[in-house]
Amino acid sequence: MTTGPGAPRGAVDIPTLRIKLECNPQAPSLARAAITGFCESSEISPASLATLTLLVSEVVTNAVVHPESPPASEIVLCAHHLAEDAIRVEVTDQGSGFTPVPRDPRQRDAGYGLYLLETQATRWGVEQHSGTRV
Amino acid sequence: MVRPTAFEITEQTNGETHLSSIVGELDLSTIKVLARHVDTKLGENPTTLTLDLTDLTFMDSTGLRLLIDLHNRSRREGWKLTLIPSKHEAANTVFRLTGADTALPFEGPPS
Repeated sequence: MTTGPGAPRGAVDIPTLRIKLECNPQAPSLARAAITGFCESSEISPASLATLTLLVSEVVTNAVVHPESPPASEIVLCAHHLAEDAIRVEVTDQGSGFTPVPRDPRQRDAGYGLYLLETQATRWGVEQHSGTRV
Repeated sequence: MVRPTAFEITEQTNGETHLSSIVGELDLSTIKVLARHVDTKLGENPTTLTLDLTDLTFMDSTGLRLLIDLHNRSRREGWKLTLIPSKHEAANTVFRLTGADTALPFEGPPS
């Protein structure tokens, strides 16, 4: 997913974060701390950072609670600082992938994670290779 | 790489009114603590349950789901749920972006 309106800068010198997280309930918290630290020196606005942190928490939570994730699998969090206010984040697990479906308005208490991603990220998508990448 | 999420609940009961203050981050690693706490308190049949979120420093949709469940349960069971908004943007973002800031029984708007 990518947040912020800025256009990507050149391929050289893009600040990058890459960490591996154990697939357990602590992973969302660790991912938030990592992304917050990564953005510390950037000019991303506090409001954008709050939204970005929330989206990272949602996606990593999905990776942890996804029933098809093998129990001992790990999650890889990658972030690229593309422009002043544009961060690209990739969360990869070893799940078998999923097809995003629109949130069902009748299902009032579920599906907020992807709803947030859809409404708040500038772009987002799912890739399936050897795992699932959001 | 272990960084336990700081999370604490303090409580206060005045007659049939129960107040629980939540300090720290509410997410996948702490949600069960709050769910168990609330279940225990509701077992005492209070007429009012107030959750003070003032010092809640972060919340995502994991916590939102629990609060929506509680709101629905309060209406079904006939007790009153009140939420006191957090003073932290990182906790209020999920309420604001989903519209839950107006749909849930907040005492005053989130700051």
